[in-house]
Amino acid sequence: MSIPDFVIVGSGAAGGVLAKELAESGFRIVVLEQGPYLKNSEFEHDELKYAFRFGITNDPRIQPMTYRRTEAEEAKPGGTIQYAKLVGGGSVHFTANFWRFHEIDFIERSTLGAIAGASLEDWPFTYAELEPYYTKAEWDLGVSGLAGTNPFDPPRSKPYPLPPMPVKSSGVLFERAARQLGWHPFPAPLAILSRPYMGRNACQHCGFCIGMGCEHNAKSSTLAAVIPRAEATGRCEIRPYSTAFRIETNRRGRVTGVLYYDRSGRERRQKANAVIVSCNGAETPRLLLLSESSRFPNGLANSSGLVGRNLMFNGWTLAQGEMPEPLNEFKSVMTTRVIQDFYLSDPARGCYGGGGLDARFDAYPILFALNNVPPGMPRWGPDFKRWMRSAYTRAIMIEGHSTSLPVERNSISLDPVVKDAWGLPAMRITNTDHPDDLKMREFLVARSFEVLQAMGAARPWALPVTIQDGSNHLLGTARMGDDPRRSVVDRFHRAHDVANLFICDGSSLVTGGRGQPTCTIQALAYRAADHIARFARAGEIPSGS
Amino acid sequence: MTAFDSSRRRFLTDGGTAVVATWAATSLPGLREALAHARRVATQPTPPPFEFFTSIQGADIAAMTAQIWPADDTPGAREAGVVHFIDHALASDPVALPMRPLFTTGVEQLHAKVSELYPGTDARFAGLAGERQLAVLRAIESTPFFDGVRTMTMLALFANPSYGANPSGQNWAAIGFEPRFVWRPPFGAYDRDAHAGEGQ
Repeated sequence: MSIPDFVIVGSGAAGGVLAKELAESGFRIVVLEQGPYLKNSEFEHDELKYAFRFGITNDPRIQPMTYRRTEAEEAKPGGTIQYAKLVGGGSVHFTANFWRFHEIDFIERSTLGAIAGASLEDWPFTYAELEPYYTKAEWDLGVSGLAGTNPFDPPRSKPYPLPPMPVKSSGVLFERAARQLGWHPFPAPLAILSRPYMGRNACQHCGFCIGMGCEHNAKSSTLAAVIPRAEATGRCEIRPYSTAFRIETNRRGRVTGVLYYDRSGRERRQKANAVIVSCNGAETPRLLLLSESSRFPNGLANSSGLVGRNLMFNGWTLAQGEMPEPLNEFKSVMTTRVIQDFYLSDPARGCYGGGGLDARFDAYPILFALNNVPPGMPRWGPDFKRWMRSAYTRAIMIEGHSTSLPVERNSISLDPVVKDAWGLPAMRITNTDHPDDLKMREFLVARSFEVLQAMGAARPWALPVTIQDGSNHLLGTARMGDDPRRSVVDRFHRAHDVANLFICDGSSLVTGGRGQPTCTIQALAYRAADHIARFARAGEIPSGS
Repeated sequence: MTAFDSSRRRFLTDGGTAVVATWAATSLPGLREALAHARRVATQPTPPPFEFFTSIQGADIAAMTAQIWPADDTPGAREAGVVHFIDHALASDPVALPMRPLFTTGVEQLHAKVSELYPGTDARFAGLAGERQLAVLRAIESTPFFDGVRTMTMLALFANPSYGANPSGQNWAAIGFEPRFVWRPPFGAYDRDAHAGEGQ
């Protein structure tokens, strides 16, 4: 291939969509992906492989991280950022929750006013502008759900393309209990096919969604749903085992291509007319910071100083109980019923924030034995074994998913000491959750106990709410905005500082929604592709080559 | 986030569990060989000598695993040969070298606790009556050593049979997990009547 129109760094939720959309629009694309290119037949039902052996995720042994709570501290090895590292990225191993953001998520700053200790901003556009792309994402990728059942749902122009997944016992129990509490449960929208769709199989209910790839191609990852279509154009090359470490620029301040290490560790250069960065909200800012130069001394596209800042993880809570009869939650998708009654921020709670709850079960046997034993229950011995033999089929979990306020001091930066296996500065995480985020999580834990009680669940308990040192929701670190001093990319994902550099992934999010960002990341990618194609056709992307 | 992710995070940071998890992540051949060895041993009428532990250390750890996951109407950790899984890994897998101190110093701490709680006896942990074993384990259950033995036990019990552990999924069957991987609703007791009109 001669110099491609675009190099896309990252093939995940956003990169995969951008590759397909731009290739179908006639552009020539090279996608650099640091992980392998696996076939769906290579995915196994293997807890040891994916939970312990970093089967398809970043490997802290070669990609170390450091963590500190505040900028005043020295970061120490640790931190638990996790992302999928293979063609398809996080869309391969995620639970497949596919919640749209609501109208409020785009205008919360102007609606609520400033919040102390946070850098809350409105998005540069509204829900209405993104709505067509939410619909496009749902129909192009394949999403199961039932429109009209969530009274808090934002307006939608089309129903879901596929009916909801069959309800599980956890869903039946949750639905009944939630109604009793006056809440409004609805079928979980999931990027998993309840019926065959676009040549792909329906879900076979194997029960191994979380952390794993789908061997039936029923999970609507970009690997299953769109990357084959990108390649079918003949204009898109997916290049696995390609670890980007520097975006090169010329003296006019334009990007000219990407340096990366291939599988053998050899340094390679891929030139491009323009570059799109879609590495996720942790690796995207790291790559931009690694791409510093005399012209961009603080890192590429970082005149605002905001690259890596406003890191948001989303809040998460877990409560668990046990029912008298077997639920057999090890079968089928992780969750089938959700409530969003607490989506809006409510001053009566004494804090900013909002969230949703779902009923689910997402622990395989080893993890369950190690980490899901209720406090007070022996962790070994005859009582423990009796408990395992009863609870593995009878446990139900209520998980909360909630807001993270953007806070500038929470960030991804380059560690000054620790290096990765290629000798590059390791990722340094700085994070202390905003106090309101912790309070909101406490609120959701309290609601989770209420719903467990309404179900009649025995032995209810919850994980304590603590400050997070990592997540797999990696958001906000190259935020969008109209003001180049207060954002990294413009409303079309073009870097304010570099006319032929685009950034589109979780890092673009101005606010983090209520805990399920993938749907919005993908809607943004469809929208970005439309605009980037329009600019390219109009000759409005200056070439760096 | 999910419970799955949250548990994975804890492996990276929790003392004895982290030591075991690092080994399990790093040494697939070692893991397979040690699990296969344990399975072979479990089928032999007379267990072979230990390869890394002394017979006294091995007996103590075997007794410990039997307390962690005892036999009931399903096999316990002793019947599954878990101590030989640990022993073989420590003896023959170079990647397991960093795990050795956890178990060698741990088993001596175990013995020290026996001497402390039951002074004047010469008994090792394995020779104590059941109630006394329980008391000793309760006294050390928060140590990295106990966590390490417990984590190795759970790996050996519940890993996929393809690794050589968990023959025919017998330990999965004990907890009600069926490795069929293709299911149709209804899935459990509470959704039996919930599928009318779903068209599946």
